[in-house]
Amino acid sequence: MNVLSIIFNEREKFDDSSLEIFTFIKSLDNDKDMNVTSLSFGGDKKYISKLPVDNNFYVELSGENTNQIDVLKTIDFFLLNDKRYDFIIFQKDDMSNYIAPIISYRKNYPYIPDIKQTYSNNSDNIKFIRPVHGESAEGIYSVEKNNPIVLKIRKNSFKKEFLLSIEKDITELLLDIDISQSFTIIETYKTKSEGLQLDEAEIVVSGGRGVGSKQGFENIKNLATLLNGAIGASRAAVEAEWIEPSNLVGLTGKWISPNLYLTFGISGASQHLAGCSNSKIIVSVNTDPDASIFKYSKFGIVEDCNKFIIDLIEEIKKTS
Amino acid sequence: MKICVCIKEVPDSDVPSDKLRIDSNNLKVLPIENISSIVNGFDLNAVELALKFSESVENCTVSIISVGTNLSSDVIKKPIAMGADEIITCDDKKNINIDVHGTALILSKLIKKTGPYDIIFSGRHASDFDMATVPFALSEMLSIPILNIVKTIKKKGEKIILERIITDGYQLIESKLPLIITAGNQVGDPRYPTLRGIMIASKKQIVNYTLDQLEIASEDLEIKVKLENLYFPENENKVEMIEGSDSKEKAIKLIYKLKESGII
Repeated sequence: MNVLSIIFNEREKFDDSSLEIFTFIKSLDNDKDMNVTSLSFGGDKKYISKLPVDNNFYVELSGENTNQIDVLKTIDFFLLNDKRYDFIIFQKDDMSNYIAPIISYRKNYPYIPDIKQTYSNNSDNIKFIRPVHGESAEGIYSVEKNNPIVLKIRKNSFKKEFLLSIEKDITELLLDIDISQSFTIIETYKTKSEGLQLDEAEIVVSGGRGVGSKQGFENIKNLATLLNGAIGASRAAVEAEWIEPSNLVGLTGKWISPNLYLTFGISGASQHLAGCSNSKIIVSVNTDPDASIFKYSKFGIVEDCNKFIIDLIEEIKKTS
Repeated sequence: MKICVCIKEVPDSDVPSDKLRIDSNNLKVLPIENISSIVNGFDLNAVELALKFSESVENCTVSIISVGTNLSSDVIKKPIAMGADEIITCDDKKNINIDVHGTALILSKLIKKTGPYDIIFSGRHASDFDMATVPFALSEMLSIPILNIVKTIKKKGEKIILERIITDGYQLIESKLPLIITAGNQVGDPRYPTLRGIMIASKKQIVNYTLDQLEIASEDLEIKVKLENLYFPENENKVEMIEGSDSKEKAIKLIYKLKESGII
């Protein structure tokens, strides 16, 4: 069985969530003869050369303004010239969300996005589980194995495979430049989210509609600082402009898996839970005892979140 | 100019998930009784973006395009009430179980039949099956480039300038036309229909095409990725509610619990 993983490193060094792909690949088959190829775009070659793969290809990117059309052209060329793959696998990130469905339609290969589990695999077909309806339900999808299959995995659903301890050879390829230039990326602006990086923090403190004001969000920030954690928010809080959009946790924001996720005034819409349900411990504070966030929390407190957070900050300061 | 917005009718996603039901024959999440379906939220963001753009250029018509079975005219005419000019559908009983491929194919035929359009808009994904695939499939079928999650568009001569949202910020992009654009909630709230708009919408005829009229055969709609089962995952989590006489006491108890778990 031949598997191709296509990896985009949107950070300068190496985005280690791409290592989840290799755990997923193991779940596809117990085939001892499995041959894994990776095609990485961007990132530090020191890390790329340690990927647990049999063939390692690398394309250098010239910066943040990489045009998706050029990446597509490069992958097209690669797929024409390299061997036939049974599976072509992507992680969930900005570039993959764009590239994966296009590759599938261009090549006429079936495509399944946001896979959270391999359900079964037999000689004719393979089945996967993916969440649907804003993560409130799940579907089992089946696809016949007579064609290469394009897959995109859901973030945080698979463990990260380890990098090799030694650097192995990589084959460098050049990015193809599309001369049609149907669109040009003039500039990329990165807004810094307030506080620590959300997807790297061990503790995340998040606020929702119940926080009620921009001023109320100051306490969310204070508690995050006190616990050395990052600041998160629900869509309601971001839309009310109490906090930057880059602090959004959920289906259309950041996907996080901290040890402790503290929520204040968040009701727990399935779109929000999508981004935080892999947290080890969720603690929720809400005035509504029936708020659905409690169903996913280890500890729940029915209380006015703005009053409770002040008491919590005061008591933590006393004990530390 | 001529632009269009592809919209989808979906169950209301704002209802608590424990109130939803599943139709196990057709493998669909059903709306709650007495709560009508809605236009997919991101599609309404796309309508808003298209209307804003149409107001900024001269002589621009906005068409709404939708595919489905037994579409509810009250629901899919909402963009007309918001200010769009016409509505074109392929409402055909054979569409009942089509997948993303079928949807994109029918949309592409509708677009070819009623276009050409300078810009084709849609929501970034539909809230029922969250595939985020149809606009990209359309892009390949129509050979028109796509830019996803666009927040603003301005015309600049023969080109357009747009802001595209990325995970940690945004990109400023200059593009030729035609172009496919997807939109998310960053566009801002969709405008409310006006009373005049609602009256216009109620009189507006939906222009419908059947699959036969679009020369689409059943085998063209063959499903490659089959949904075999749909269910609500069991939640085995047990929450421990922390009780106390007041907020302070609960805070102290929580700190104790978290220290006990070795978390802080």
